Amino acid sequence: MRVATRNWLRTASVAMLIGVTAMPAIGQPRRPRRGEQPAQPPPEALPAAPAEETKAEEDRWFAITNGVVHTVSGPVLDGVTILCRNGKIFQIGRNIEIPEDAETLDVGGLQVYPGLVAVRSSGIHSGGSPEDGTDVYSFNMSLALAAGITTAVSGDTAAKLTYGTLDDMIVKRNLFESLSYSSNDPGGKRRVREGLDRVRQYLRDVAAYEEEKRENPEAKAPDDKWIRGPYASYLKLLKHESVALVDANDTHELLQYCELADTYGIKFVVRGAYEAWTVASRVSQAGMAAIITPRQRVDENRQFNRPTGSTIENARILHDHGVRVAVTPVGSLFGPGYSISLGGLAGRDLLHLALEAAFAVRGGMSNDDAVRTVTIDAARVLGIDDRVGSIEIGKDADFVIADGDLLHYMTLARWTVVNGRVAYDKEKEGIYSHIRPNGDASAPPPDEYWPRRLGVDWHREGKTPQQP
Amino acid sequence: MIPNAVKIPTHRSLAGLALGVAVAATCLLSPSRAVAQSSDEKIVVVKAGHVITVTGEDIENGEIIIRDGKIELVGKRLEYPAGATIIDASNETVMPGLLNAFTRYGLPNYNRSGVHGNNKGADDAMLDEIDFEPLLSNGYTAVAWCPPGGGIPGVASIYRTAGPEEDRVLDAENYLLVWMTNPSSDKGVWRGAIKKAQAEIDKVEKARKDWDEKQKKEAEEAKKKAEQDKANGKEGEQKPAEPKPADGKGEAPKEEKPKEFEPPKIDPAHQPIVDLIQKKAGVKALIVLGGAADYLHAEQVLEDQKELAHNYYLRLGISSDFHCIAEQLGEKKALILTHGLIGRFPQTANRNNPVAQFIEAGCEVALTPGSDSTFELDQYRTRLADQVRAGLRRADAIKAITLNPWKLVGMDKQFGSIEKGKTADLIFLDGDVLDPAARVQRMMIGGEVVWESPERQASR
Repeated sequence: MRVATRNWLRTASVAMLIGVTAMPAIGQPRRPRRGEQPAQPPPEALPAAPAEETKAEEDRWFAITNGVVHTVSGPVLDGVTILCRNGKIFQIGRNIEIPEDAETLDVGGLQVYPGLVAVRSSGIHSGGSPEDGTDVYSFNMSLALAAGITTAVSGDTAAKLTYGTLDDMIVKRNLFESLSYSSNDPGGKRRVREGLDRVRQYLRDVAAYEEEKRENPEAKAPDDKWIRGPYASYLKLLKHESVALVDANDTHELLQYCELADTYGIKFVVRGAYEAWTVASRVSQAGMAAIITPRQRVDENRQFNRPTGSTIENARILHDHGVRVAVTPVGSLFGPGYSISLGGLAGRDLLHLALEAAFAVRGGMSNDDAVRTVTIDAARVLGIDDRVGSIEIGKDADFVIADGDLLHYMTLARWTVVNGRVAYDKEKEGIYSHIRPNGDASAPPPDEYWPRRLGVDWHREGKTPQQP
Repeated sequence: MIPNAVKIPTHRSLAGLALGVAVAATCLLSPSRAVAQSSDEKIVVVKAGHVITVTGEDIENGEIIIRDGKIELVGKRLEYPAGATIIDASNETVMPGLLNAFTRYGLPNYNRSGVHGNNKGADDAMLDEIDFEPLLSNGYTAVAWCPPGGGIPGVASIYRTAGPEEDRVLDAENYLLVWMTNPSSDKGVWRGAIKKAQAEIDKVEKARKDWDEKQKKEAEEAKKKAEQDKANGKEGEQKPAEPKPADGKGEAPKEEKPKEFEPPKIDPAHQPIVDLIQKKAGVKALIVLGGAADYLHAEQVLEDQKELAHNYYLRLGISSDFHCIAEQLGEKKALILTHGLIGRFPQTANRNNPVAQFIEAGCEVALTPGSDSTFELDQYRTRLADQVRAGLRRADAIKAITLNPWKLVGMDKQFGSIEKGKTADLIFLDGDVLDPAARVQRMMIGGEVVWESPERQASR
């Protein structure tokens, strides 16, 4: 078997080289720059033979064939095959040889998108460490998968919706540093600035020390024992090892953070930002990313002699000014909003992440850009775009295979794939199985219709043990 | 064919009938066909209208011969000594006594958390204050008392519900209870417990190694010294340095050397987990699961030692999702303890018979009442009948209430079926076991009738 696999790999490597040179603009794993011709795959993408020899477990292959593949970071590829190995995308192209033991999903012309990224969620993963408490058979998880979501942020952790398994759940921990810089607390604001100043001075001292050390080996390193708690957080921010997640809604708040970003060079992700359109160029200049809800509505305030309030064009305006935009539904109006969950006044937002992006299109954004706000751009905002967000070789095998344009109101996910495993199957899961079965829009619901979510109806499949 | 039971198709031999009284004559007969009685033995014969043997075929109008509380023979038209006590149950169904394999019946409630492996279920029981009547009237000859509390609250104790005081304790320390219904906290407890137990094992091993080395060193030193002594001859100067008494007591230091190795004490709270890791015979864990995902979390804790647990208690609800892991449990050949419940698949109106599904998947299933309430205890056989109606095989259903609970506690060699060599813990029903209207009329423990139903007592 192993020999056969190796032989196959040799063939595959040849096929891959041909495939990649023939394919235009399939990005490479860690350089997802749009429109750039990809380099040849690194040699370590193919396992060396000795490693294969010692490997105890067989590779897990998964293939999607005959799909219209929206790579999101590159072109739309009609009728190509995506081959995945051990939960990562291994090859994309035509005439790819699929290993015999691969699980193959012939999607028959359906649209293949990368799995959606929910930048904030509740009710899917457990709090704390998701891999130690998540109910991977929960109904919420199925609903979110049916909405095409494959990665969701829970608390400060980005985790996969690994239905039925706990393997490979965590994408990244400690996504953000928190920073409180509120007008309600001027003293707190001062303390933040003083803290940042102190840490910045420390960094300058370290630089000076390193300079001095070259000439004087007995130079004394600056004291770093005090760098704990918020200071450790500031250090990460100032060294650009992390980004700060802040809630900033109106122009005033946004400008404050812009100032902070300018002074200290901190990277910010602002959440809310409904008035960001009024200061879009300033926000862009400060290098901020925004997590916004296009259909959020706040009345203008006529006390100000400047534009105020929300607009559905927010996403488009920010995007046009070069701000990276991630879209998330409204969530709860009472709690800390902008999240996906099953609660909340705004409705069942766990079900509508793609539709929220469609509101950005209504506001003038292009369809492709709107798709990016819930895929690659959301992943970039979270700093996990090396793993998820687009269909590229080396990235995680997370796909949503939809029966139409992702942002269309009639589109339903037919399959959702997480880590190269089918995590949701519309026909089996039963949440939407009765709606447009086989993609036929005019088909009426079946006669014997009862809303259900059940996977395998083993009673009807005749698996019931018979009485002797 | 019934294993260990004897069917004699021919009519009873005249000789046997005539000489049945005489001990000598019965001895002539094949020992498998008839029972001899010596003077100090007690032989009880149950003449039953219907015998559910569990491990063999059912027997109509059969006899069960019990010698000194153990089942000697089961079959039809058996021979027995005339001195035997005969129990007429010709219009009753006789079946093995039941074990309630997971209960806190009669135990006070404690809020425990963390690891308490040294805690026994019966420690909390106040035997004098417990009313066993609801258990007895439903055919439970024994209970596995689980210590209250979460985390790892202790080990279960197997107790008989009736019978002589000295025979009540069947096993004070049985399976170790591990809760995994709230993985975000329970996982840490279970993981920590295994880690600690492993540390204890390492501690003992290290101590033994050190001790061995010390012994070796001492032996070498002694040898050297002996050689030195030999070389130096008998010099009086060296001897006073040692605290060696003179003359006859000269052998005293030699006696000290072969002292047994005393292992350092293991934390008693972790002792059962240490035994579990060291695969000590008869030590098992029962993992309590609240949903399908809890199983995955439990498996993740036991990533490197998956053979540590094969027994699971599934807390089945009306719409549990345990069907998702049926295949995995089946592959593992897990022994599942649960309560018989016809539920529905989550978020649907589709009926679900989880027990039948687990058996179909290849698991062994033991059943226990849904809770310790008198209502659930009474509903127990009704629920079983419901399941049989919904597709569970009758034989599987009976096995799930009789033999398999005893298997879970590792006592299926002595209890749980009517066959040769097993303890005569029997129950007498006035109808079929799956007839919800049938009532337990009598209960036998160790060959003695220890309980009769109030109706029966009144009619006598």
